[in-house]
Amino acid sequence: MIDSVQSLDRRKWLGRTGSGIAAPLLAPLGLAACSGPQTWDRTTVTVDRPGIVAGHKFRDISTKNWPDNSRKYQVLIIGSGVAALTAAWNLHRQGVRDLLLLSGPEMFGNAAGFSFPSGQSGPTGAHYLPLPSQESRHVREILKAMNVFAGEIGAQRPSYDESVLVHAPSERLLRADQWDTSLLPQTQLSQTAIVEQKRFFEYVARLSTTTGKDGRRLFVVPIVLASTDPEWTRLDTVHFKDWLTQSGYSDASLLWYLDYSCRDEYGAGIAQVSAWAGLHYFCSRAGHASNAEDGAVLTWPDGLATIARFLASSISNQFMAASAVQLKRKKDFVEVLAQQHSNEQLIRFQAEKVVLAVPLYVAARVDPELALAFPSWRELLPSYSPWIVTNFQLRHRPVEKAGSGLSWDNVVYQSRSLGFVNASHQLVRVNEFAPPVLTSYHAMTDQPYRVARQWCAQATDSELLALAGSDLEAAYGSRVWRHVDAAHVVVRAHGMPSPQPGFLTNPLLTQLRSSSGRVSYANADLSGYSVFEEAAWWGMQVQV
Amino acid sequence: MHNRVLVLSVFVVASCGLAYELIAGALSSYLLGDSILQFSSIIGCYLFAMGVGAHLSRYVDDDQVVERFIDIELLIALIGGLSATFLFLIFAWSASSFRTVLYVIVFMIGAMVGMEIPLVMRILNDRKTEFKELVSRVLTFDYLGALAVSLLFPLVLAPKLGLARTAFLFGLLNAGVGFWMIRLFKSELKNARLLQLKAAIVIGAMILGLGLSERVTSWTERQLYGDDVVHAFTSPYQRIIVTRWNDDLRLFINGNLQFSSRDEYRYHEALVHPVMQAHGAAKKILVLGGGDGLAVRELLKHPAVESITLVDLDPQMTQLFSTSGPLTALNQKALSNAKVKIVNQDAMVWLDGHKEQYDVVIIDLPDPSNFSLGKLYSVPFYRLLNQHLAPEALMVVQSTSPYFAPNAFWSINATLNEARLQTWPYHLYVPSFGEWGFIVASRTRAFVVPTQYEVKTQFLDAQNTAAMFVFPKDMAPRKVQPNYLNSQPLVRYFESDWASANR
Repeated sequence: MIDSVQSLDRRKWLGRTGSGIAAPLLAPLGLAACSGPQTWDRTTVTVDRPGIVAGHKFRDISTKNWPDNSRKYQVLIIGSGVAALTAAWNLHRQGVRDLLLLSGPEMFGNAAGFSFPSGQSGPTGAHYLPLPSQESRHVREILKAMNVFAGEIGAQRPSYDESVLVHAPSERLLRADQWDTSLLPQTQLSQTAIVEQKRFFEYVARLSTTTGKDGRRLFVVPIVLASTDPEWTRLDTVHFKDWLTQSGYSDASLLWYLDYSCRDEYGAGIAQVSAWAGLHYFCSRAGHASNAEDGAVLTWPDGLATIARFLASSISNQFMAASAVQLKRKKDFVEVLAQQHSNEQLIRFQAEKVVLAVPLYVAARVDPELALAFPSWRELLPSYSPWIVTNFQLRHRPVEKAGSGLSWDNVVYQSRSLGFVNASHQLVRVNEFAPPVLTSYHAMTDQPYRVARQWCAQATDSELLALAGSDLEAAYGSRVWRHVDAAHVVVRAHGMPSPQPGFLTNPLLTQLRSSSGRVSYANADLSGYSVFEEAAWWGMQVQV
Repeated sequence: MHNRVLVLSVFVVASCGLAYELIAGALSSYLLGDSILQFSSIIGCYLFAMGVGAHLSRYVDDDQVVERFIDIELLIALIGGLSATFLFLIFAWSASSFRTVLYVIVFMIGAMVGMEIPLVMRILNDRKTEFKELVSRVLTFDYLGALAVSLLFPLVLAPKLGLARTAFLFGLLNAGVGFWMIRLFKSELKNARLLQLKAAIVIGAMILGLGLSERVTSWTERQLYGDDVVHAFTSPYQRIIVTRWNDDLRLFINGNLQFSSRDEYRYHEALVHPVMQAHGAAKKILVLGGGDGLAVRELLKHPAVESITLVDLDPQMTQLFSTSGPLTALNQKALSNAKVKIVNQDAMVWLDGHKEQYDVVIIDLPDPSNFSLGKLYSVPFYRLLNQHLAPEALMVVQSTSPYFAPNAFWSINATLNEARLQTWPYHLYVPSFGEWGFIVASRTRAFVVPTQYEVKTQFLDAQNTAAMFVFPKDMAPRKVQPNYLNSQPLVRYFESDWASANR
């Protein structure tokens, strides 16, 4: 399964000694959806590139020969990510039963999770939710239905299920070979750093309660509820980095922290996102809890896949593993041509209502009218940053460096990666030495996205793993690979749209938001950046 | 004469070489567990080092071969002789550097032993011994020496002398060979005097070591565990040590005392009988932790008990306490009783997967000394347990010391209250632990402090039971935070309480 050159190459970069005799012979058989798991020495590696085959194949399907018979539904939802699931859940809640979801290439999209044969799981997409603010009623409704949220929907300080609120210790930062307890550098700071940190966080604290001339808070999730006061939306015309320079911020540790935060949230650093987006991250999170401090998050072992499963549970048998190829608007209904994954059979659907809950670069190919309405849609599409999300099943707990112990979020100062999350952090176990699943995140922000995407498509498993494991190596040394039983790499070539300057006024986004009629758009892309709350918001707006 | 002595010295030298290797292997298996790994890696390291030594022997000048051989003998004697005692001490002082020191020592001895045979061959060669005879005789005695020690070590030396004294004995033999060689080659040696002095010092040190090593190792073990070690092994979950001193058996897990057989009845009677007596008709019992079977022993005194489910993570722990003679004598073979079902699983995972309800639940889990263990004293944990309580059930929780860790103790109490359980905290004096605390909890049923016991007890009676539920001023209830998982104040309370108690 592995040719000898490749396995030599692996052994070299792992820098390991030891025999690893006949490792290629031990490789188990491959799984259908992923590249075959490859074993060398003692680590089994699987790589998943969701959508890479299906996505490119659907571009070439002929849309001329539609089948004669059509299947009829009241509502057809295209996609199975958070927006699609929220739309389905909400419509089901309102009594709509005649409904079908076409899952697309990956069930749950950016909210997907993964389970190792050991039974332990981890997220392959988003892993947490901030405490929802009072404006995020739609998120609170979902959490309340899940019994995670207790109190009035509009409450200032509702309480949350303790097992879901991130457990202590929640975060740590590896700096100068020592783990500190806060991601924001707090030790060995220069006087400038102390002053600038104070100034920045006082500023964003003030902005998060400031309202614009229209009476709305300046920064709100969902962003369509934020103030449109031009005095503030003007911040969307400059890059965050330039705004920071102009505002007199120069300390390296603060700038690293802000850049890290933006890369983690948007898949784009301070040099790429707009100043509005950069401040939005720090000012919009205004949720409080009666039983946790501000800034706490909600998280599950497999991340937001738990919420996705909950949303899907009400419509459990109304999924079809199929991808939409094209839609046509007719007078009283919409027709959709889709291909079933199992047998590549083309199916014709007829629905009174179609929800296009897919990223806009997919929507533009499925809905010909979008291309007609926006001849320059290619230029208007947001830029999508590639992400690599990797779950590592550990065999035992590696020895920790000095300072605080393994936390939920573990970040390496000045790393180009985004650190790793302990996916097993929320588990309560008698066995304090139980081996955890660690999830590393890497947003490819160091080269143009197109170049990064090409690299992702061609990178060998070992190259991907080297990148995915770089922060683990920083934390535990190269010996960490001895502790890794299995690694599952997910490459999200179009991970998330990045909110670059001008995204607030992008005409493609603003017009699709208010689309009405038989075809609705629902996707976080409409907000210009990808988080659960925005996706769920657009899903919730779908009405029949 | 010279040749015969030289060949005899090969026999001694070979046996000494193997002896140090066996001592290192046995010692590290004993201290670290996993004997296959320890022995293979030590043999590997040792053989490799011998190769290195053989290679280095070529750099010894021809006119200094005898002198260097004697030096090497004395040095091996010193390092090899001290090796076991030194490694014991290292393990007691700094267990983390033990492995490094072990391999360094094994490598040093191996390298020097590797130089011996080539040097002896060169000495014999200088004496015009025919080559084929030389090789044949040297190697014959080399292998014979190895055979002798490989049989003597496990059958006689290790059991009778112990590792430390065996090492000194072989050190003495090595030094003896050196001393003999000095006498033999006196005329050819330039500084025989100096060599004699060195040899005398090494021999003296070995004799001293032989006399004192017993004291040193037992002192070291006493430093580590207080007493003689009767069981010592490392399971995937913990390091389990059982020690004995006269009639006192003690169990240590990861270096922490779990019980002393002298006073454990106080702890286990107090853990079990108040809830059992108050309940009156408990049939189905659940015990979390307590793989030593001592709580089960107390439970089995109640004839109404029909089934006891013991959930303990570590199969090696329950195995030990089901089979070891002195330990089953202590728990009265409780774990082999037909009423007892042992589940070796993580209690949380097991509770999650079952709907069973119990009349009495006994929680005897490790103290909340870190964030991972602290979760076992949290509202979600107690809420999960709540679902396994029969309507009239009582639960009792081992809750650390209300005297040494008052904030931690009252935080556990507050956490149980937060999980909507009524609580009745109590405490007693266990000599080997100090003042210790437990908390009775129930959903609805009011707990009535027993005024008599229907089972036979060594400690509990009506009077001291009443006193257990009274908290004097120095242990009075404190207003502290319940243990929320989001912040886990309990772990911080526990750390700071014990830090100030252990000043």
